[in-house]
Amino acid sequence: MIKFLYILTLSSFCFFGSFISRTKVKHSIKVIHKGISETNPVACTLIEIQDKEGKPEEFYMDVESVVCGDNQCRIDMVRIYWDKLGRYNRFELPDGIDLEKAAGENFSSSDYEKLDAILKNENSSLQDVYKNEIVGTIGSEGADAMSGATILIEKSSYVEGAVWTCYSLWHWVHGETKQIIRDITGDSYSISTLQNLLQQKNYQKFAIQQLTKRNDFSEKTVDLILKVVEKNLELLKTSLNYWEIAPNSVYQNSMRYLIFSGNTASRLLCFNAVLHAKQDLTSFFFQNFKTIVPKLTYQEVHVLLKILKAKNKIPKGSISSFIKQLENDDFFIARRFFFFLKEQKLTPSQEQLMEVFYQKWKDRL
Amino acid sequence: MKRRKFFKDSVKGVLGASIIPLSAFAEVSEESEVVANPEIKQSYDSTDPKQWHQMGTGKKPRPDRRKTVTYDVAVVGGGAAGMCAAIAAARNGAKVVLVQDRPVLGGNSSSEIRVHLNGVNHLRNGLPERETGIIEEILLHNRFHNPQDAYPVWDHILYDFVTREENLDLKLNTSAIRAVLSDDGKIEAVYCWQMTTETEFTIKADLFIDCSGDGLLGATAGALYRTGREASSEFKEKYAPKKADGWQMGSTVLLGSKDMGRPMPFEPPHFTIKYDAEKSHKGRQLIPFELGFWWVELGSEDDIIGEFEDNKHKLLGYAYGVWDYMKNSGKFPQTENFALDWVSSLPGKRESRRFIGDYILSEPDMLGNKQFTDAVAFGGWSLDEHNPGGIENLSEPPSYFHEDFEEAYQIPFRSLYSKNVPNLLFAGRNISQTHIALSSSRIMATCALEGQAVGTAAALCFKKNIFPRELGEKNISELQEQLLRDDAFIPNRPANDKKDLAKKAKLIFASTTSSGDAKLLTNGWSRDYNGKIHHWKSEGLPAEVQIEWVEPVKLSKVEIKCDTNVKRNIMLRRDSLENDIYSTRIPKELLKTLDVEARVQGKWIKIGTIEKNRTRLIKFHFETIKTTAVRIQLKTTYGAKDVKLFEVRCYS
Repeated sequence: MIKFLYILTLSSFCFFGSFISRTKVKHSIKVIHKGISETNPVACTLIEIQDKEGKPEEFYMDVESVVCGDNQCRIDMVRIYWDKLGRYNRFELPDGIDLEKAAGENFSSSDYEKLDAILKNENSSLQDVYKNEIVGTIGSEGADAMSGATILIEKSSYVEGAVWTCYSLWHWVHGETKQIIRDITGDSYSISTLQNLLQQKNYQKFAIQQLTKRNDFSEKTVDLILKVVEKNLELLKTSLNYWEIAPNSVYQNSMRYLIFSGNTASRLLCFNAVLHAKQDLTSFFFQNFKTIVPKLTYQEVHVLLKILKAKNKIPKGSISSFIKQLENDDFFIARRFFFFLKEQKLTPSQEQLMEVFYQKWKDRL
Repeated sequence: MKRRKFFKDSVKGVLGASIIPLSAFAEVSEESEVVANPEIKQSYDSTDPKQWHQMGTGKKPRPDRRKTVTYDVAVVGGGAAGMCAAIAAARNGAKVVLVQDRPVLGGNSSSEIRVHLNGVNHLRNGLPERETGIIEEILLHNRFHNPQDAYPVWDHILYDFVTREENLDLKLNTSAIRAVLSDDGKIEAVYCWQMTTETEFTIKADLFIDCSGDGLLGATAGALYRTGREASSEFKEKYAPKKADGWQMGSTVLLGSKDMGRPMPFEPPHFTIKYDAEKSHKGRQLIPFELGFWWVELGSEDDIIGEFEDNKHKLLGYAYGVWDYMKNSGKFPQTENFALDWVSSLPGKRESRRFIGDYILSEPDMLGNKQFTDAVAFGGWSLDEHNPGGIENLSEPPSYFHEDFEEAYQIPFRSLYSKNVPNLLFAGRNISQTHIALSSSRIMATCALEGQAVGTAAALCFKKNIFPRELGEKNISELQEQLLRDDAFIPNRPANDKKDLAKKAKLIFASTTSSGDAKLLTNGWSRDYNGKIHHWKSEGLPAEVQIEWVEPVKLSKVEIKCDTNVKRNIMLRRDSLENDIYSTRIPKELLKTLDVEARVQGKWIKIGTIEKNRTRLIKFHFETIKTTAVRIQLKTTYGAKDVKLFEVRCYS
């Protein structure tokens, strides 16, 4: 076995010994690495390091430092570490080995720091690049090389002289392995563990995704997710996939809850989700909507009325409350209701109120 | 007056030598307008009018091939600058003719020369700041119609693009030989020779735009111009030589080769000039070799135009010489299976005349990013000054690549019209600038922006019956606003069009937002710039943007600027490079399918729909309606999961 030296942090180095005593589980996986093949997955061995409870604590994989196009690169083994949620943690090199830059020069400590920062950046411009595209041929106006290869990606995305290494490692770090790790970890957890994770910052998104994968719509899970997403717009977005596949009664109850308890931003998200959802809506869903109408902004009113029209569900008794909105201080809201009500069946007295509105505002309609 | 007399006197001699043999067809046809043409003084009666016996009809025709035609704007030169000038003028209401002396459009980018249509390909941060406007439309047009990246097809992409334009006549194979001046020093007409039809055209116009590169029209009109390098002291240019001299950057012969799959011998033609690799600067890279060498280039210290044919002969010799070295020196075994499959017969020119305008753009303006109140275009290619002498100066680097730009620089309108010929504008490498400034601004997409600017300016001049100088002094804001509306970008000059009714809306909002803000769609910026966001981006598709007015407005136009990712280059390249910075594909960000609806009396009415949008600037024109709201239904892109917009405008 190769003896690995931790490059980045001394604290990591301290853990080295303890890893040896912990249980390791080998996972044979197949992943696509863009630098090797876009269609044929590469077989790899992902090592899971378990904690005392036998749950995943960390993962690592030994990869080649360079996917080399011209056989002129020196290939070193690099060990990449992810945390149990598939987030890049650090890398290591075998003892006495340094990564190599152009012209045989070794990486400096600032190069290692830059490489680490590059690997931490999930959105690096390296993600959309293909192996044979990194080094281009720009000269003056024509297709040519000026002084050796010209790198055609943002300078912050690579260590100068080591673009191949940066490219290769970034794609190992941010490739399909991440999701595999998340799923291994998720599968190892019980529903109750995932429910607990819903209450821990940094794990909530993972927990929602895993509970979605498990199709768990138990009352406890639903309640916990509702609580978590209620005040967090990003998690609310993540949870929309969960609600969309939930049983219809859970869906309607939960969306109602989120709409009634939310703020403008979250309500807009929910309204738009409802507008495009495949789930059926019963008249129950719209019960008491009239109570929130006065709180809504114009944009919310606009989407809500679109939902009513699209789903063809006008809640009972709502027309009379909507008529009152003709006097809303926000003229846009009043006008929006006027246009909506024009298409509804109204009582003579309601028609009369509509006529009053029309006469007053006909120049603005 | 003196100048005019000079031409009147001098043309006779020239005509005597070259035009007389064509006089057999001197009878005037009914269609032709006959005007007093000072160019045609020669009698055409010296030959037999019945010389041509037409065997099919038995007639003895003697067709007149002298025509005088009249336009509002005449553009000379069919490269990137000339095409954009002509299209801009035509779209802005002028009746336009575009005169091109080659059988194809595109100038240096055409299949005859095959230089990449570069622009602000990369600033110092490594990222492009791509040109928009007409040149963007052309490049997108190519992406739709020429996914195979074929240069001969590119010629016809341009032909298609130009000939479909209303108000625009194209005259190919037509050389604009000289200006005909009026008594007050204006250009009254340009005298042209169309080789393929043996026709003499006298093209009259109110405004003339010289985008020919060499600038023969302007030169024969007496427009002031310079050639060669300024002394560094004149404009405080750090990269200029201490003493002024005559050196102009050279022209290049490109070549292309093909892997034949078997060993291919190469025997050089007799005019080959041996390439001395040992003495060559290492900047003369030989690898990659497949697409030729831009540094096979010959400059001149004197009359680069007059020397062109001799230099071309030498350049062909040098080009074959380098190829001979690659094939037969034994040092490049990788060329064994390669054979030449194209060698240009028309060297691509970089430099000759530079006209003098009311302002001479120089290196400090560019490096100091001078902000011009009359900015109408921008550039940002590096200061890429090729060495004096080109391949005959082997020990020097082929280009100095002095410096990259931090930010795109502005080009002022005053550099785009003549100081002394009142109705002459210009765009391209012949604009009013120093040699060092030219080393950056000569790039074709930059020239195209200048072209759109002068074409638009010419149309405005025609409408207002004024000359360019007066337009610049009194109406520069109107010119800038029109350019911005037509999707040109002027750095640090946001649009503020008072006629844009979207700006008068009380509310603009979107169904979803993943970045930016729908409110930014009326802030006048048509791209994110210098780290500042000016867009709205949806979260997923479909998405909707709605604009609401308190009072009804009368609308007949909705104009939208969507995203095409200006941080990536999309020009045709010979190597079909596909990476972070270059793409051969239709930008995935481009909006593909959309509807526009207006709310009339509470009902939404569809006022426009596009199933396969192909442009960044999307225009909807419809019967005037009275409405209180407009909504844009954004359905699909060419691959991006979200849609990004930069601008929405509404006009009555």
